[in-house]
Formats: sequence, C-alpha cells, structure tokens
Amino acid sequence: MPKTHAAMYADLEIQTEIPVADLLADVDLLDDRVIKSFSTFRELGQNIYGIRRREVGTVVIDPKKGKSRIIDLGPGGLVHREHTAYNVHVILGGVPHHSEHSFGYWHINDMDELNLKFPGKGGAEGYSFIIMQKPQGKQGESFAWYCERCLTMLHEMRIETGRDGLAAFWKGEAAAVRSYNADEKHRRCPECGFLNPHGYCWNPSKDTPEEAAARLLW
Amino acid sequence: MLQLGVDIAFGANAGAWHRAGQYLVWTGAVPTSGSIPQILEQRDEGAVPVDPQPHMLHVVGAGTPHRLSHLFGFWRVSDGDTCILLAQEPELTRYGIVAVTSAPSYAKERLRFHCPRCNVLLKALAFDAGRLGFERFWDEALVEVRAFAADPAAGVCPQCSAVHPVPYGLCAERDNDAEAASRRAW
Repeated sequence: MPKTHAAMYADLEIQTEIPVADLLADVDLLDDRVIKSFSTFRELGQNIYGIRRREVGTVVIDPKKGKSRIIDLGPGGLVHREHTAYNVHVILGGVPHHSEHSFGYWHINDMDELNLKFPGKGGAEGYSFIIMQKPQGKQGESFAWYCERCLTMLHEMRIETGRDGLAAFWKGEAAAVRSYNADEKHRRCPECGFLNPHGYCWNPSKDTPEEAAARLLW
Repeated sequence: MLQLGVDIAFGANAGAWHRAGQYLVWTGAVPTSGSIPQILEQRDEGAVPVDPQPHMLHVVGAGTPHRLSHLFGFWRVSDGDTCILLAQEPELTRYGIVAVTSAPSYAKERLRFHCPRCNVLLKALAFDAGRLGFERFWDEALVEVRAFAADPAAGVCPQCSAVHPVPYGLCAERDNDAEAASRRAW
C-alpha cells in the first residue's frame, strides 16, 4: 500500500498518495490520482497551485456552483469578465476581485494570480488552474466587502500568509465571513444606506441558510 | 491607467516572452500530427523524458536541468520553478512555459550541453538573470548556442566521441537553416 499523506486546511481534509518530492519529479499534476490533492490549494516548490475539474467550453461551468463571471474592481468601477478557455489571465496584485456564486467576498491578494482553463478531451470535464507564487514575509491577502450600490468599502480582514502559511487562508476566510455576517451594521452602507447581502465562503458545504441564499444572489 | 490584469492567448505564437506580473509566459501551438514538444529532465539516472500526456501541467523544480524537444536545443537550469503546460486537441496542440522568477532565491539561469549518447557534460554556463533580466538570458543563450555550434571540438564527446547535434535557441523565427533543421529533428 502506498503511504498516504494528509494535510488539514481548516475543515477540508485533503489526501494524496504522492509525496511532494515525487510531484516535482515526473508526475503530471492533471493525473486523476493527483488532481484531487490540489482542489483547494497546495504548496509545491516555490508556488501554490489550485487545480479543479470544470466544464470548459465556450464558457466555464463549476459543477457545484454553476456559471459565474469574475468581477474586478478598479478606479473606473466594476469590470466584468467571463471565464473563457485558453486564455491566460493574470490578476495583478492589489486588485479586488470576486467570482460570482463561487466566493462571497472581494479577494485582494499581494501576489499575482495566474488563471488558465483547458477543455477536456472528447467532451470530458476540463481543467481550471490557478498558479501563484508563495507569499513571503509580510505578504498576504485580504477578504473585503464593498457596497454593491456605491462601492464604499464596508469591511476588511487581512491575513499574512507569508508568515502564517497557506493554512491561514481557509481559517482566515471562514473568520472573515463570520465576522462580516455577524453584525448587520457591517452590511449596511454608511454612505448610501443600502443593506448588502451576506458573505459566503468558497466551499459551499457549510453554508448557513443565509449564506446559501447569498451565494445565489452574487 | 491602472492595469487590473493581463490576458495572453494560450497557444498564440508570439515569438516572445509575455511578462504578466510576477510570471513570464511563452506559449505557442503545433499541429498535433507534428513535432509536439516533450519535456526531458536530468535526474540521477540520466536524461529522462517526462511521460507525455494529452493534457498536462508539469512542474520543473528549481535546479533541475531540463529541455523541451523542438523548443530549445540546450539544457536549461533555473533558480526558479517552471510550469510546463500542454493541451492537445485533434488538430492543434497548445503549449506554454510559465517561469516564476520573483522568488527571493532567484538569481541565475544556466545553460548546459550534454552528450546525446552518454550524457556527459560538455559545457556549462551561468547567466546573472536576477540582475540582467530573464528575457536577456534567452538572447544570450542563442549567442552561446551559436558559439558552441561554431566550435567543432566543443560538440565532440571526450568520453564516447558522439557528436552533439546542432543546438538551437527558443525563438524559431531566429533560426538559421541548420538550426531549423535541427529543431525539427530533436
């Protein structure tokens, strides 16, 4: 029996039968035996990889969450982008971005995130990758919320994944969502008075009823 | 205007590195019936081809000598990890090289020539890419490739007498006739 390696990322346990040293040898990360261990995120060498199976055609569809768009927030306001196949898209560090129905917050990363999607072979599910350099020292990321009507920042929690490692991401995400949802004052815009929907985590398995409802909205 | 992101068409042959934030991307495509790039790595057991798959993401760890057949005709050793991506369709195979050169430990790019028969090291050079730039390395590599090719003695293995094939750089558009023929062959 091959030795099983396990790692805990908050509430998600991931397992792989392949040690990191072997992953840097002749293993294809898209191999079905390997890909599951990257379905959240995993450090490998100098980078962090997230790899998921997706329906990748002219649009990209998450089997659990459905079709979604990426939204970037820049000085000119919101910029909507479709996920498309064979397009390398790099989200530059510091740009708040949100993926509809996938994660219910604005992610602001110090690191650049490289995204790419391939169709699968003969109509099979394709592949969705995120590659980012491992943060160092004080580098980290934030979970933030902006008023969906006037874009005023409502709430933000920053984590230092350079210091605390990747495990801090999932714990930080859950803590940030709980913190934002805990008090209606966080969701009520101090500028325009609009009551914004709840936040929600990337993993839908532990959505509260309010979070599940919010996931359908934004 | 503040740039929010960078888009690169995967598989579009640009003949140049795309700089996209912390990443450098080289991408292109070949007919699936043609010469599909294959990853080779130097390991303890010698020069080893990485098992090719129709769709793959392979990480070449920092410090591992590697080569991509039909893409660059020398062995590269980088202080940065390199991701090799391959997506095969019936007509077209797209490939990409993603280099990450912003890690704190990144300083050098190296090129090496090994005997194609017995794998003995024939020549090795280091380039201060952290200071002089990653793209410049590939320009300088072509200069070194041509210097190696111009010296008949350099390409003859001192151990087994095999002759090294004509090496070539990354950019096919800059090939001379001998390099273009060699690119098709190995």
